[in-house]
Amino acid sequence: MHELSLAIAIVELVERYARGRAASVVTVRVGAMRQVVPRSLAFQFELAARGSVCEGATLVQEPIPALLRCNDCGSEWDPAPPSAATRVELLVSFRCTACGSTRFEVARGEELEVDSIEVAEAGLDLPTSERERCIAPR
Amino acid sequence: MHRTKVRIAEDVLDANTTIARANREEFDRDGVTVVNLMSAPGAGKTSLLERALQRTDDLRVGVLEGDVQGSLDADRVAALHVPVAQINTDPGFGGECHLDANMVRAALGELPLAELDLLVIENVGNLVCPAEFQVGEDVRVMVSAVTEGEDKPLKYPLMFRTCELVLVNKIDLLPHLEFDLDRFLANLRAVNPEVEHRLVSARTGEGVDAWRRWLLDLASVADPAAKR
Repeated sequence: MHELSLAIAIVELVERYARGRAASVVTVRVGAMRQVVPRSLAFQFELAARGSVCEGATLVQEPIPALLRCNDCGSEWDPAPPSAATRVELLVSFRCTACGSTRFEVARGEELEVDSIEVAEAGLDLPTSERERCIAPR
Repeated sequence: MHRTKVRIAEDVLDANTTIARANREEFDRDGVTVVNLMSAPGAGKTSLLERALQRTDDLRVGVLEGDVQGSLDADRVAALHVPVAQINTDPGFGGECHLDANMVRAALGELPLAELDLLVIENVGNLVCPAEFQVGEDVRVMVSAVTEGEDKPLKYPLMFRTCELVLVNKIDLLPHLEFDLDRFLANLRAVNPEVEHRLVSARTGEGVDAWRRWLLDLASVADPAAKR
C-alpha cells in the first residue's frame, strides 16, 4: 500500500542524480523490515516513472534479510521464520532465540535506499574523476 | 552513447526526514510537544481526541487533521474551540494515504504554534504508510480497536514498533466479541516490549481520563517552563 509513495520518492531521488539523463536501470536495497511487497513496488514504480527520467527503466530490488542483535547476550537472529522468509507480515520472533530477551536492536533489515542507477551518457567517455563530478548531486 | 553506473546509496526517504527535522526544530523553538496519532480507518482517533480535549485544564492544545478528503474531522474538533487546521491529501498522486513531513510543513502557518503547548497531528487512517513517514513528532500514539482482532501487532509490526502508547479502544464491545485481550497484549509486547497501553472506550468514556492525563503529563514533562 505504501509502495506508491516509495516509488514516487525513488523517482524523485533518481531525478536529482540523473540530471536529465535517461535511467535504464535503478537498483534499490530493500530491508525485510520495511514491509515492501516487491511486485507492488515494481508496478508502482512503472506508474511513477511515466514522464520522468525513469520511464521504461528496470527496477532491480535487492532484498536485505532482517537481522536482530540481542542487547543482553549479543547473539543475532533473523526474525522471519524460514518458511515465511518472503512474507514480511510474519516477522514475529522479536524475542532472542538464545536467551529469550526482548531487548534488541535492528542490525540489518531497515534499509530502503537507492543503491545505484545506470544512465545513458551522450558524448565522450570521460575519465572516472570527471564522470563523478558530473554526477554529483545538487 | 554509452551507459554510466552512478553510485547513489541514499535513503529513499531522506528528503522527508530532512523536512521532518526542520519541522521538529520549529516545534522545539516554539516549545510545543507534538503527537502523531495513527490508526486504521474507523478505530476512533477523532472520537478519542474529542473526548480527551473536552477538558484540557489550562493546557493549550492545537490539532492538525489529515484526511484524504473533506473536513468532517476538523469540524468536529473545531466544535471544541481548539485551533485546528485541515490537510487534505487528495491533490497528491491519487490521494496520499498518509501525511508526510512536507504536507505538515505547509499547514504549520495555519496554527498559532507559539501559543500552543501540545499539537496533535491526526494522521490518515492506515496501518502501513504513516509508519514510514516522520512528520517531526516527539511521540507516536496508536489507536487499535478491539474489533480489529488481536493479531494486528503481528501483521503490522512496523507501525506497532514505532509508537510509545497504544490506546486499545471500543472495550465496551468486549462482551460481544471473541477478542482475547491477553493475547493482544502479548502480541503487542512481542513486537514492542517497551510500549505503554491504555484500555479505553470513546463511547462510554471509560479510560478517557487516563488517556487525557497521559497527554497532559507528556506536554508538561516536555515543556516544564510551560511558556506562561
